[in-house]
Amino acid sequence: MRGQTNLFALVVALLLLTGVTVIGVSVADAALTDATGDPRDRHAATAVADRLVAADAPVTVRANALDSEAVDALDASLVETLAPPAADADFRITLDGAPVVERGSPDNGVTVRRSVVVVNRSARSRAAVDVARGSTVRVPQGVGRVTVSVDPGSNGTITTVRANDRVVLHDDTGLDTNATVHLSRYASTSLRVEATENATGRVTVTYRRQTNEPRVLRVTVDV
Amino acid sequence: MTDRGFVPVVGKTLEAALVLLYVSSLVTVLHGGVLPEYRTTAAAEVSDRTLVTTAERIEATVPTPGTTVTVTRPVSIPDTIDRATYRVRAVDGTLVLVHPESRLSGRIPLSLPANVTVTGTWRSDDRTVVRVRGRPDRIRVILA
Amino acid sequence: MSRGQLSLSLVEAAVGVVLVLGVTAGFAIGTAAPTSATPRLDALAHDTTTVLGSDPVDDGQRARLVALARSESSFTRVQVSARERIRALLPADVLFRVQTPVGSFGAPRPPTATVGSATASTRYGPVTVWVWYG
Repeated sequence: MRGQTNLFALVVALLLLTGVTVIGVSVADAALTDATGDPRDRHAATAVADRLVAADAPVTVRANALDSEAVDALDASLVETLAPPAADADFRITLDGAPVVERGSPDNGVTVRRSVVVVNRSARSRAAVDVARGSTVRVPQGVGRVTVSVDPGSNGTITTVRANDRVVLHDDTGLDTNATVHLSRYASTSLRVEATENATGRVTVTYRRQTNEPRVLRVTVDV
Repeated sequence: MTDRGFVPVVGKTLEAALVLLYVSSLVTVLHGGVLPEYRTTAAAEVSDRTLVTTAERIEATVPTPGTTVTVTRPVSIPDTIDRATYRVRAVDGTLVLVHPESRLSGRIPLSLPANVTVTGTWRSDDRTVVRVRGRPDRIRVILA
Repeated sequence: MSRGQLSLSLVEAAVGVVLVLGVTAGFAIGTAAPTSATPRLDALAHDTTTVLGSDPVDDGQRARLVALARSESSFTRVQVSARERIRALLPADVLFRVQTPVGSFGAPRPPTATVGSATASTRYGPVTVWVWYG
């Protein structure tokens, strides 16, 4: 009876050992399958991110500055052309969480985060010159074209509009017009109005301004 | 009394035989079914990671556009994968690892700026360097 | 006597189980090892210097980065907006420090931590940005 008890204990011990070996092999298997694919995902994600924020990319104005209209026009085939490692892959590109381009479901992929600014070139800005007070309007650098609309009042006439002492609009009989004036982009410009004594009226200057908004670009790719 | 003397010996022999049988069968099962598969999977992993790391190194040596740089940088890759030497070739914007065993070969597309071309071949047991040459509008990356 | 031999087998089995579990733990912990954070920090620092280098200030006359290096008065004037801009660009758990020829601002650099850095050279000198997880 003692021999059978020993044998029984031995069988139990061997079964325990077998069980633990099976667990070990399955953990190793899971570890191996888990490790595959990740380096390619990371390579593709960094490739897409680098190509999208590069200075010579079609969607950027300069390095790390995306043009908002180009971002709206971005689609999956353009991303593939820019970054060949993302060919035939599922990817998702978001700006501050809002999706820009999405193809498939890259939930098992790697995410790369870059800080960018989004440049919006079509924001309109308007400023007015009060002729009676002789104020000036300062147009910041980077604006090449402004629309000046002169609305004379009942008194006096507005004769000249100067940009940084250069005469851009002039009419001795009085200006009453909407005109497009070209300015230098490389420096800011001061627009001044010259008018006869005690003149009233409004001169409105409208232009498109660039706005820079910081955003977070996230690229997730699953090859 | 004499009977009782034999029982422990028989019991112990039985135990020893059982353990021996168990160990040998376990070793056979592992070597036959599990081990070779893991060896090739691990080799495939090494091959894939070598390809990706080399691609990242090559992409990192490309200078920012607008600068003229002449760079020669050594890159280390494993001499053999699964005890065989292999080649790494740059073809048409893709990096290809050519290994005698086709299961361990692979390719990966490179992410490069517009005017950069990559050419050349590496042998895994030679000294491997990346050479960047060229003017700002046409950069060549050569594996030598 | 039977009790002694029963426990011996169990001791042997326990040793075997511990050995196999130890090797298994080696697999599990080895693959859970995290990737180094340095390339990500370097990318954050590089992005920060790039964006600061193209943000126009002073009526568009110069970039925020250049204004930080130009003179002490320019540095003090731009410092607050630069700090806000960097906070907007970096994730919440990242600290930074900026050093220019005329001054520095930001959290003090930790002696032991992985730090990513990027340096931009301006006409007035180099501007360095350090970032780390803190």
